[in-house]
Amino acid sequence: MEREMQLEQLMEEYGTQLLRMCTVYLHDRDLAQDAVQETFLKAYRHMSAFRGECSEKSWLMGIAIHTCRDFQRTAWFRHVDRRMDTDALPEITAPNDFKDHTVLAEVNRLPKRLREVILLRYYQGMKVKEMADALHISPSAVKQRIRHANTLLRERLKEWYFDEE
Amino acid sequence: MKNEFQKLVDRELSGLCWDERMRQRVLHSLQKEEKPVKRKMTAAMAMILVLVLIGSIALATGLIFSPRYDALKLADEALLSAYGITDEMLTFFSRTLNKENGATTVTYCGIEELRSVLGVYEVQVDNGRAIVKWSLDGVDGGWDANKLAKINVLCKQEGDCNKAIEQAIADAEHYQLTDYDTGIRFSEKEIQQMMEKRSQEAEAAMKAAVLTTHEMDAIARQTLQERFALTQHQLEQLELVEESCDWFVREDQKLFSLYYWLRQCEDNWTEADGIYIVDVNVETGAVEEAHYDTGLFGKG
Repeated sequence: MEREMQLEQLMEEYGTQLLRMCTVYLHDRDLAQDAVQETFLKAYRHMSAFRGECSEKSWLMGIAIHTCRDFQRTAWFRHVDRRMDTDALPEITAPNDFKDHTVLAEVNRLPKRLREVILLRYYQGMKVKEMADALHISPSAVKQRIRHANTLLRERLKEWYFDEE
Repeated sequence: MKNEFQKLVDRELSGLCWDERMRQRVLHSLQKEEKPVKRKMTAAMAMILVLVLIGSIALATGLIFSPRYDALKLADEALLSAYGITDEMLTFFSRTLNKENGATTVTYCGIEELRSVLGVYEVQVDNGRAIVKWSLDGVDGGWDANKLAKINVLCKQEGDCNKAIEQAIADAEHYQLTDYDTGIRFSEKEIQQMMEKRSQEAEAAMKAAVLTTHEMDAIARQTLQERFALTQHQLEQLELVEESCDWFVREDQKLFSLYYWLRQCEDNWTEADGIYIVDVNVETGAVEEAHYDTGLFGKG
């Protein structure tokens, strides 16, 4: 029962964030739903293995990223053009000051290892050490990837201001 | 950037929210997983028990490798001997095995970002013999083993493959190399069906497991020691990433994929560091596949 309550808390706290992150990552709403469902199921199954060596958020985001990669690894995924059609996104319910989908489209164009760090850093607001834990790479590799992603985005999105790495 | 990007994604995707329906879907899947299954002793189960006994003996005396494992190993060795492609270099490729009309073909397709310059290797495996072909053999600009060795050094120095990708893009443009396209396409409906099937198969594999994950872990580690010559110290440092392990079915075989991570030094890439994946038959303990990836590409 305790595990189920923990799962409920995780779903409550991270469900929407994960769903949006996986949608950007996988370029597909339906697949993203499956990925988030799978993420929570894996988290539930391995809750006892979570030793608190990293934050709960790093742990969960790590599972989500690896699940998305697993989905992409399947044979069919490699043969389908999954560039997200921004017109096919669900109707925006929040007040929207943004006139186009340029930024999201450019993030989508990044190679996936760069897309991952952008999503974890700038969408999930994670620290370098947390990202290294989640992605199983060294902190210096995380920094390099952020730097590279920022270089690409800065070139492509000249009007956007990047104030940090 | 941080706050603006967060705001932007949340606004763009404000129509996407975790809702009661999705919550129920997770809880429903959970209940299905935890439902106790009463088992009767059937002929099939008796057969499985025999196989387990054989598997246990195998555990004590040595490993069982499936024909698939042998074919893949032979193909990897053929690639090394014909074109000098090492296990480390295989990080740059995704490997698939197809059987058609009794013939086995192992295909190594360059990964997304480098595909134009890496091309595709095809290995025909037949009766312990292997014949290798490379789509860019003799083509100017194709990255052969010599080039890949240099690229490997560069990636290790950088701890990443960004510069390699820049070079690949430049070379592909300069030599006018085009991307490889299999031409296979699936509809959204087909994809959805495949996802559902995958989920059902995972459940079936989990239920059919006769070996414990601990036993399969032991088999996998022994395999890695043998296949990739890992030292005792490296084996001890090898971390099983439980959340990335996966139950699945391939060609009617129920399998468990064990996912390991080796990082010997906090800041730098060290020899043999990376991701190791071993697929083990959950009923017989036979090893179906072993795979190594330096992890420098974030392929997972």
